[in-house]
Amino acid sequence: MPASLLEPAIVERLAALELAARVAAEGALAGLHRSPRRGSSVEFAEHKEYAPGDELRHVDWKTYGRSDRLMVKRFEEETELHVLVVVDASESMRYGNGDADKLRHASVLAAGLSYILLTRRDRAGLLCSTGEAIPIGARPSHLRRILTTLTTLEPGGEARLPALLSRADLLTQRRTEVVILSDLLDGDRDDVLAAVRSLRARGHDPIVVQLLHPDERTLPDGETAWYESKDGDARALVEPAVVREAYLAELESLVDGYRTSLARARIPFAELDTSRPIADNLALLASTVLAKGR
Amino acid sequence: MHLLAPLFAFGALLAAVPVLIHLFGRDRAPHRRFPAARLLVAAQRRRAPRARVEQWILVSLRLAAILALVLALSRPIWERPAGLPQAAGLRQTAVIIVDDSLSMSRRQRRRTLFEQARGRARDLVRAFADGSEAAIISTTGHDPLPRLERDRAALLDALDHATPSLHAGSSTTALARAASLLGNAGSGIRRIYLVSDMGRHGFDPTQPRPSSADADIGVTVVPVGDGELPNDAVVDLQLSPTAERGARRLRVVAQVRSDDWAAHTRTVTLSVDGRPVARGVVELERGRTVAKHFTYELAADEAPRIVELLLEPDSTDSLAADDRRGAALDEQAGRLLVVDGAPGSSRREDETFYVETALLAARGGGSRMEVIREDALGRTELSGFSAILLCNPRPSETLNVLQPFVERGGGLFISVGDNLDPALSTQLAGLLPSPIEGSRDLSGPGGVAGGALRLERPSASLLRKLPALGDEHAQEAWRAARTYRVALVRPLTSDDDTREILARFEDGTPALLERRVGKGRVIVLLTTVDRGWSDLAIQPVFPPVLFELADHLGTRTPDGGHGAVYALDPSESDPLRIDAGKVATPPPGSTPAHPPARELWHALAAALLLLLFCEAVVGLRG
Repeated sequence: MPASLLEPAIVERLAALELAARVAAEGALAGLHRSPRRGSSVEFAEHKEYAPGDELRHVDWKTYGRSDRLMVKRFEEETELHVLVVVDASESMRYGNGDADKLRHASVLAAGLSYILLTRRDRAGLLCSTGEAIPIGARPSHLRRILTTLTTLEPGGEARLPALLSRADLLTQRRTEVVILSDLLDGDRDDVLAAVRSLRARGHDPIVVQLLHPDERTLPDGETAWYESKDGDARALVEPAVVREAYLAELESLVDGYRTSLARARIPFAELDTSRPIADNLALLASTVLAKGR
Repeated sequence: MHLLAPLFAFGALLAAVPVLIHLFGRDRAPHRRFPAARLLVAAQRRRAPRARVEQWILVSLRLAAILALVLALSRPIWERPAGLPQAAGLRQTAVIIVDDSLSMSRRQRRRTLFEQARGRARDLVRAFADGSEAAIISTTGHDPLPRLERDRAALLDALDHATPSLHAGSSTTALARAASLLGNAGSGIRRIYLVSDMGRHGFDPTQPRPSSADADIGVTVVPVGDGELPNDAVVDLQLSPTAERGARRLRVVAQVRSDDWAAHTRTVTLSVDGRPVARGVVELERGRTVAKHFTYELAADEAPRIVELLLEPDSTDSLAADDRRGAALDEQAGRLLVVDGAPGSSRREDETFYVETALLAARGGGSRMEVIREDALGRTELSGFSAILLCNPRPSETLNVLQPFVERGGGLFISVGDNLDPALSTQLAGLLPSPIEGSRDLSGPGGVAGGALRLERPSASLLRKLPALGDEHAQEAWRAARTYRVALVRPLTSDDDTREILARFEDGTPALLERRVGKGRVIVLLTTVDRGWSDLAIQPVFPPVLFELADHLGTRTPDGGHGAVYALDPSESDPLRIDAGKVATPPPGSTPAHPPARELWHALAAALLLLLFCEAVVGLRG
């Protein structure tokens, strides 16, 4: 793993985390995660009244002897988790210095998450808004491909999340957790939400993670200046102290729109501040993922 | 209000600084990349109305603060109405003398002293306690309201219509007249307010305050104008035609006096019959009179009549009217006979008083006219006069001498008045441009709106004859004259080119007619030359107009007029003042206070602090 993305301290801390997805994933391999599929393997799950078509080998004869009722045993299968990390690498993500840079932050989060998944024998994939895509896989070399892609990622263009999420659906064969790392500042909010809900409708489990730099959260004091978007389509002569209150209201309105709509659709939504240590944010992200299925 | 340090007032230009900073600051503001700029744009749009109001308030406060600072540094002084004499607030009977003499036309801080005096007089009228009565008179006899009046609005209106004069004034005479008015006013506080520049020339040096005034009539001086005002004046002009070795020459000696603050030079121009013929420079020193000599060689057939000396305009000269002076070369030409058709009991009741005063003002102190009563006309040798000015004539046999006088080339000016009689029309039928058919009272029933008519703008024909009306200010004064009664004449026939309507009133009624008779001319003014029917006689344009009319009448060639000659009383150019203490007497029971003007910079400094505080509050709230 390139040291520039995952420092040993972070790797150690992440190794201690128990990434236990609550959502059962479809998969063929046994793992630590529980699958919603009832199967014949390891662990008993529940009884079900017999219905024509059920396999007779699953009939619990002991229960029949005790209660004179035909009950069928159901088992939980242990499966591997499929995760596709979608990274917004648009121009707006290039803001901040060092680890506070949104794109670097998102890259490290994606790398960390992939590392955890692959070392747990789960499957991980990567999709970037700039076009790079690593299909979901589980081989040891897969992590290196992901990390290499993230390390060489150059920001550009707009996020175009709706199109990106449509492509994510095409990249996945099974039920997949789609972790979206973006500042959510580009594009129309309703279009993005529709795309996220569409993913959900197709049987995937989207998790939306909004990454914002502290400047974007607070609009710190400064001299009057022309504030311009990266692509130059938005421009305003602003004295931060004067406009801060209205700006924070606009930001809150945007974020609250995501928060409310995603909560209504039971889609996890996390707001991460890039000024926090990346390990903490990764833990928070993992917690969000864990909390999703509980 | 005026400024003690007016140069600081240019600092008001600093008020443009915030605006310039705003305009140029926009372009010079740094550029920052910011991913959430879209939200900033939306935020700006959301708070735009409120922000605009806040910005306007902030800019206004900053501009006001700068102006307050600049104004404070300029040390403004406020001469409050409360600075009037304390007696002004009492119930009283008063006469306000507004000095309207020529010296009051000097300018100080862009306002003439007369305008300042009129403002002070207004303050006095407003300060009088209810129940007071007052009259307003002038030092030149052109009294705005020469009777006691209780109506404050009427007093203020009279002041509004008061105009400065080109005449010399006599404050001593005005004080005597005021005392006479108050002498009949009964008991109570009686007071004279003299609003004047206190020029020495306006007072009798031996007894500035007339002895005729009652002891209990107080005199309060309300001085206008402070400090000495720079002025240069042509105070005398002497002409000496000579013939040396066959050449005809004209020697001109002009006396130019300077009361400017420092030595300086001015260019002078010699003009003959309105034509500049020579230029020169005079070096002037404060308080000294300098002689300037010109010698003008006359052509063989040249017969000049009027010679003028003019100083080139100078913006620092406080009085421009005395910067030119004229003199008539031909002693016979321009000699006038003024005939009084309705002598009054006092000189001021005669129409000839206004004519004489106007001509004296226009021609200088030189006696070039003779005033007689109408009944003496038959005994007077008319051949020595170029024109006769007949004021308010009554029908009489003596008028018969006029016809041959005009036919031989003399000029005749007739102004009508209360003596108007059908017999007059008959008797002067050979002279009048058109028969006079009675008169019309414009202020009575069937009159006109406002009760008075004004004159039309001068026609081109009139302007050729009276160049003095070519000046815009002169035309304003010409049109400002109000006429309350006018004589009516039969319409002129269009095929008679010897008769002409020179001027009309605004409703088309003829005002001034001309007729050529033989070699001479007759001009008829269809109203009075005193204040009986019209106030034309007290307009500042009257002296030059009357002079040019007389000059035109005495000219035997058809368009022989020339530029107006101004030769004003040189004493009015004297800047020396008389001590107000020699005139004023303390009012009973009060102090003749003239509190010093109050400086305003303290208040402005306080206002500045308040503005800065408000600016800080609004800035922090924004």
